[in-house]
Amino acid sequence: MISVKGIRKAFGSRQILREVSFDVSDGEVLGLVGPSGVGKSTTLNIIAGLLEPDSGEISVDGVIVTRSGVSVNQISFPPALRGLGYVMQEAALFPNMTVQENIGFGPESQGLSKGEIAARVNKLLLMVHVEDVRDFYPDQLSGGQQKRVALARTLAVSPKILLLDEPLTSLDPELKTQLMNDIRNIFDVLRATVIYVTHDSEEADSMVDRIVKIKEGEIE
Amino acid sequence: MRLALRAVVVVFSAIFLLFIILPIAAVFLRVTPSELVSRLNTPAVIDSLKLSLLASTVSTAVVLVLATPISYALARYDFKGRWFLDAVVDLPMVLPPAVAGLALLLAFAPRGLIGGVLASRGIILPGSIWAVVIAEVFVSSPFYIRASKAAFSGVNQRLIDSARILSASDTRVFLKVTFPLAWRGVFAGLVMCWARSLGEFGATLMFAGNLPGVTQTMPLAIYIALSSDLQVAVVLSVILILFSFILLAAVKSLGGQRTP
Amino acid sequence: MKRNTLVLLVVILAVSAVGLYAAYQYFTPKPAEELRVFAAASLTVPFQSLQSQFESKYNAKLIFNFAGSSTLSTQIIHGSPCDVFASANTKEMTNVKNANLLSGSSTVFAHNSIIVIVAKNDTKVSTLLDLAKPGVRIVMADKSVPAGNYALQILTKIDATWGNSSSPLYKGDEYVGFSKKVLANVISYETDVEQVVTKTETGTADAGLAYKSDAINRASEVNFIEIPGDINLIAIYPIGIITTTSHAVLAQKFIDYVMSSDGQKALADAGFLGP
Repeated sequence: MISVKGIRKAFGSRQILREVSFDVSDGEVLGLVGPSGVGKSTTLNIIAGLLEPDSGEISVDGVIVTRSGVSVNQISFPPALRGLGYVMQEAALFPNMTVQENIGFGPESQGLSKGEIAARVNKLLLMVHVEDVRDFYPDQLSGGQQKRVALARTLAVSPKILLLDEPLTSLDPELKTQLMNDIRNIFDVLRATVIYVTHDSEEADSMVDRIVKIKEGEIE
Repeated sequence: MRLALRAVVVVFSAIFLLFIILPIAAVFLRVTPSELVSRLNTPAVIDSLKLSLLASTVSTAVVLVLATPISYALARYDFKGRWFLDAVVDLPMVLPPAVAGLALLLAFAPRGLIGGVLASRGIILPGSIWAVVIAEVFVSSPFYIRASKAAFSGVNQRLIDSARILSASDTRVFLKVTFPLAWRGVFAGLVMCWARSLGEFGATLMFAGNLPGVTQTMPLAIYIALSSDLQVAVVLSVILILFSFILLAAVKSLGGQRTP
Repeated sequence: MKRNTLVLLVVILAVSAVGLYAAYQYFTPKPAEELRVFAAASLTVPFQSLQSQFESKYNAKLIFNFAGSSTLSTQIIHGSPCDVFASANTKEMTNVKNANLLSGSSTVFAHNSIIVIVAKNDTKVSTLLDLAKPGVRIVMADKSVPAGNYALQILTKIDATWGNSSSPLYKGDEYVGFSKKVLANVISYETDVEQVVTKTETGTADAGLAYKSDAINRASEVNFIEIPGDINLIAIYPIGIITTTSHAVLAQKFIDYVMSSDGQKALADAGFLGP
């Protein structure tokens, strides 16, 4: 489903990613595990199209969405056209919109009718259990609620692949367990293809199907 | 120790406020309210007030439309020579207004650099209110650009990233996410731009000229009144200060309210 | 958020309404023929006083542009639309002529003399000689401005005559090095003569060197000391028609009016001398 080949990225003189390659099959939940600062978020940003690699190739569903390097035809699809969803570490909900406006942002941009948008938003509000805060603004939500809304917002555009960056970090244990179950459920129901980034290998063990370890910019 | 800091803040603030208020009070104290009212209906006052309002409003609108793209670009795009563009955009702020006026004349007057082209199409700028608008846009745009640039760069990159993943249209991202989040700073920039336009004198005098009823804004009217009747100049000054302050205060009180 | 937006919208609408109203007023077509007169700032009072008479007599509208003569000539030379130019000195008129923008030749329509202007209740300066007293604060226009230029020339003239023992006009030792002493007392060189008057009037300076017309204008606030004719310089005020005008006939009428007894009276009342 998604194929990452030979990704290299340097920031100035620092080589962050040396030779990152891995594949994710359809419906698989892949865990990308490693300590902080090792390049996990950078990898996700490159896959999402927010960052260009120095060299390497990425394809989604057989379509090359990124190709970089010397003496090759450069390819770079804009982020919104890659069929991806990305839940970032800080949720990054739009502070100027309510929960349902946040979730409806993607579908609205896709040109769906008002009715279709409302239906989809409702479905997602229920799926992540935030229907009673639909008119709240992000700063009125708890950390856990924000993550749920972020997930819903991402799912609203029916992405082929989900990218999750440390989704359960900074949550207290009780909330964490609850959310873990909910997220795992959603993965199963949607038969989602997921790249799940975390530094917590225990969390990875319970959440993902397969683990890929990353250390100092390359896969171990 | 906290008390000491507070005391320092209060004392210095008081001194500074006094420094600002004293000259303004000196102007106000030279007119009686009845005199003010009686002079309000003279052409000098009415014409110049109308012109000032019209020109400064139009200039601010023009700056909003023309300068926002470059402000956004400087804030969020990285490109070669960005530092140079940044400096150029600040130039009008560094120029003495009279120099700015001369420069505008040399460029846009009928015998200027491109003024000839304009004139052949029947567009003659000096001596018209459009020259006033152009002069005001020129000198006040840096104020807007600085403030709005800061506002745009202050928008969390992750928010824009998230929006870009959800929406294929960069314009949509700008209109629905970036701009709403930056708008308070943008608005503050507009207010500064408007205030600077209202007080603009040197460039207007040189480029547009001092034509009563046509280009004579309040600052120019005050300048002319100084040569014939100091009292009229004082009355005009009071009106200008009052008007500016009321509008400024109204706008600032609005801008300070939090979004729920 | 909603209420905030609403109030802001109201403010914007209100300002736009004012703006639109002003625009409407501004762009409503005017019936009478318009004449653009660029005139030196010192002519503000006399020209504005003859404005309504001229306008009703010839069914015309006078649009004045009052500023320093060099600013005006710069504007004219760069194409700012102008029909008539009335300058405070011949230099700027010559500049316009050299740019081939003067139609025919100019006419001298008035003269102005330089005087010493003193605030009403100031006792420090009562004679010309007092200007050289140490501790006296003087303002004058910058030498690039006609008034300043004339003033400097007068001072130099005093050095060459009253303060020069080999001159037949020699007045005495107290006038030797006069200009040096006076210039040492100058606290500021102003960019226009209005500033000179204002600073004297408000007491920032004890005395200023300005035009007689300025002193007459502010007769309630200031006194003035005449400068004797043997060393005084009379400012020559020429008026001329600009070649790019499309109102040549009306322009000539204006000049004729300025030269007429009505025009000359307005000038005399303002402290100007005849042509």
